[in-house]
Order: sequence, then structure tokens, then C-alpha cells
Amino acid sequence: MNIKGGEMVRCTAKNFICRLQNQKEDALEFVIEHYSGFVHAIAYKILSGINKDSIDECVNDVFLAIWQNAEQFKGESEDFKKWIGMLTKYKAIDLFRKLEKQQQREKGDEDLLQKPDIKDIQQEFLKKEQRNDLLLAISHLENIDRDIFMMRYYLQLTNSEIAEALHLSKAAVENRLYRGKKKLATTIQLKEALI
Amino acid sequence: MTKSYKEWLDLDVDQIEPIELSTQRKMNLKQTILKKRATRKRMPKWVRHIAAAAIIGITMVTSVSIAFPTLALQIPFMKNIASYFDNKNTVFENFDSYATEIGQVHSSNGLSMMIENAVYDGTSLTISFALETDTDLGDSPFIEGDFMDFKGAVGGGGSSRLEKIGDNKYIGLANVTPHFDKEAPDELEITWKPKAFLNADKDTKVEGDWAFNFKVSKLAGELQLVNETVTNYDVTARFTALGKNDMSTVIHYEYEVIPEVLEKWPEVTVQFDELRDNLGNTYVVNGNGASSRDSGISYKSSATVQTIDPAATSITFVPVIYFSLGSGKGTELKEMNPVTIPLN
Repeated sequence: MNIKGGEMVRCTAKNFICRLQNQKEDALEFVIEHYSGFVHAIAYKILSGINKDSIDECVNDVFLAIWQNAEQFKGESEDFKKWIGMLTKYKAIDLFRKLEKQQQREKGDEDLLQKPDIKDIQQEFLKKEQRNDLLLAISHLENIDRDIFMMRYYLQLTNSEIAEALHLSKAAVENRLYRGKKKLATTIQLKEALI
Repeated sequence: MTKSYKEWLDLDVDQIEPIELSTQRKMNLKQTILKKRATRKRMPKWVRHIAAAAIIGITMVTSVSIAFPTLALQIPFMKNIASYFDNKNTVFENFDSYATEIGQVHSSNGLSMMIENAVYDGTSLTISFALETDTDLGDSPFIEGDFMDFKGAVGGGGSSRLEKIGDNKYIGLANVTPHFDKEAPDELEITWKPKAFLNADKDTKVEGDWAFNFKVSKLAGELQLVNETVTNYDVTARFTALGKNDMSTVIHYEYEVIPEVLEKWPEVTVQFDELRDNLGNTYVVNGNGASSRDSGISYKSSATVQTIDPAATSITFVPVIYFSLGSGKGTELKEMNPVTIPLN
């Protein structure tokens, strides 16, 4: 009597999301095969001025976050590229800023005189894992809100900085933050971060 | 803080042309990710099918009256195990609602094993279990020793996953399909005696003497006979029956290969991963393995999905033929024509 087990490898553009959410290794392979060039290009664009290691780190981080949080992705295969692109962009910017600050600190003593920045302390508090949750939760919002929230809570910019970056009025930014918060606060783990 | 990172804020990623990674780098990337099986505290999402084919020996369980004195003396230490996994659209989604509570705990060598719930849908046994131990067994321990024994079964296959959820707690789900010579019984009698739990990363293990014995009755349900046949690439698949119950729908099928095909491809399997109903719902298919009595010319097989939406009037799926040279030596995949089965 021949007995066969259930697992076989089959991953296509149609079913990879489903398989990824079920943590099938072939789906991870598929996603790496089809999207790593794209993720790499975004990371390269933003981080090539820093160093090569940071590009690698960013690519690794993005795929790890996707693998660990695949179930959070909602949408069809076509939306997947947008999703992964946005995650990469904000992760890369975050890394850029972190490493840039580090490089500055290494430059000379004058920075020792800097006062502790309240933002830095906030950053410390939001551990990497929570930051990933935040990043992923924000990724469900609609386009413009998504960018505003990414900048406000993931990158922790001020409202005026966001308004400047997106060519909006400060009031418009505040208004959208207010409305978006209501939507986001339905996710329990984000309530604390958004207070 | 400098201003320069702000230059990237309005970067339009849609306009970026991919820069391909080397094959080596892609492989490293995959390895790095798989190695980081870091468990997240709240909801472990690591799903890993440990035993793609847990082969249950032909051993018959002759004596079931052996008493397990330490059994049931302890209070079960976990509840609602299945809810820890992400079971959306799978047969496990409604598992807890239909399960029979087993609630057996057995300790040996500092490791307590508990069987929480089980469901027998007439084809497969689905079971949730947990471990509590002081020894670190890594993120996804392996179970050594025979998997479950079913009274009267001549063999079987299935898959299981076991994952870390806390410093000393592990939870598992398994789905096993026993094969019987005769018709499957209305009540399954299961014996499970794991020999050891193995931390594959560190090569450490906890050996012990755990033994469970329990019975699970078949969920009430009905069988709808169907007759849909599809032939492609010298392989014929015939879908014979749908087993319907509150937790799952089981698609029973047989397939047959022209013997000449076996000369090139000694192992031929027909499976499908996903099916849809006419309302657009998607279901994740759990393959139950296949068995052959004529060295691989014909097979009997089944696949399980979550109960099909009662409002649906048909299901459609694409069977895939896996032509294999033998385990690990190479496979070729061919899609068959889509099969649609009307539902009563």
C-alpha cells in the first residue's frame, strides 16, 4: 500500500497571497522571486547614499515583515505590489533617517551638546515590533491618509512638516489625522500609540 | 535632524524600475527570513507543516483497556488552542465549535502534554494539543515516534504543526486521515504515544512516556454522491462523493493513470489547493493524502475544506497532476480542466 502525504509545491500569481498567508515556503520563494527586484530598487534609490549594508537590511526587513504579517494584507494580487512598495518606501526612509543621525553623531563632539529630543525618546519606546504593527495598520488606510499617518506616526514628523511635504495646508493635515484616527483606533494595539 | 530624508517623502514608487537581486542573494534572503522564526507574543503566525506525511503504521491497536493512571489527574493548561492560529478559510476555522472536548493531560520527564479537542468528520481527525515544558524546544519542535494509531486502520497520512507561544508553552494542530479496508467507522479510537519532542535547531530532545487513548464520534452529516470525471495527460480523475457536515466538506475522489505513464513518472498525484463556490467564496483545501492498492495505477483520495456556504449551488476547482520521479528527484505539474460539482 502506498501512502502519500498532503503537501505539494504549487505557487502561482493567482494563489500566492493565500499560500503566503498560510506560511507556505514556496509562496515566500515566489514573492522573493517576483518582488525582490522592486523592493531592492526602492531601497537602493533611498539608501544608496548611506551604504550598501543599509540597502540589504531594508530588503531583509521588508520581506520579514511581509512573511510575518502576510495575514494583514487585504486585497488582490495587483494591490500586493502597491502594498509592498509602500512598506519599503517608509521603512527605507525610516532607516535613512536613523542611519543619517548615527553618522552625524559619529562626526564630532558638537552633537554631544544636543539636548535629548523628545521624538527620540518616543522612538525608543516604540519597539521595533510595535513599529511594524503600526506600519502595517497604517498601510490599510486610503492613499493620502496613509501618507499622512506614515509621516506623523511612523516617521513622527510634525504637522507642519507633513503639510510642507504633501503641499497641503496644516489645517487639512490636522483634519485628516483627526478623521483617520477614528478609523485606526478600532485596532486595539494602536490605541496606545495614537493617544 | 537634517532635512534631506524629506526629499524621499514624495517619491512615487510606482515609477521605479526593478533592480534584480542575484540568485545567491535571493536564496540568502529566504534563508534569513526562515531562520528568524521569532514568535510574536500575541498571535503566533508561524505555520509549519512538520509532518507532510505522517505515516501511521499498519500496527493494529489490540488492547485499549490499558489504564493510564496519571491521565486526567491534571487540569488542562490551555484553552481554545485553535484560536491561536490564523485559520481563516480553512477547515480549522470552526473547529472549536464542533469539537469534542478530550481534556487529557499526561506528564513525563518534566513535559506535560495535553490533548484539548478533537473532531472526526467521517474522513479525517482534527485535533488540538499543547505542551508545557521547562526545556526550550525551539520554535517548531518535531514529534518523534509513531503519530496517532487508529483502531482498525491499515494506514493513513496527515499533517501537523506545533509552535511556540510562550517561554514554555507550545500549541499544535493536526489533521490526520486514517485509511480503512472497510468503510470508515462511526467512532474513531485513537492511541497516541509520542516518544520524544525534538528541538531541531539545537538537536536537544525531551524523551518520555506519554500515552493517550480516546474515542471520537463522527459528526452528523450527509453524503452526496456525485459523478464528475476529467481526463487530461493520460490521467483520469473521478469525483465520487461529497461528505457534508457542520465543520467541513470532504471531496472524495479517485484517480487512475495509464500504466505506461508510470514508466516515466513512478508517482502520480492529483490534488488541488483551492476551490471556489459560485458565490465567489474561496476555500483553502487540506489534502488528505491518497492510497493505492495496485502500485500506483489507481488511487483513492480525499480533500477537506471548511463547510461550503449553504447558499452556494456549485463548487469549482482545478485539479493539478503532479508527475513525480520519486520523492525529491523532480516533478512536473500539469493543470487539468476545471471541475464543477453541483451541490444539492
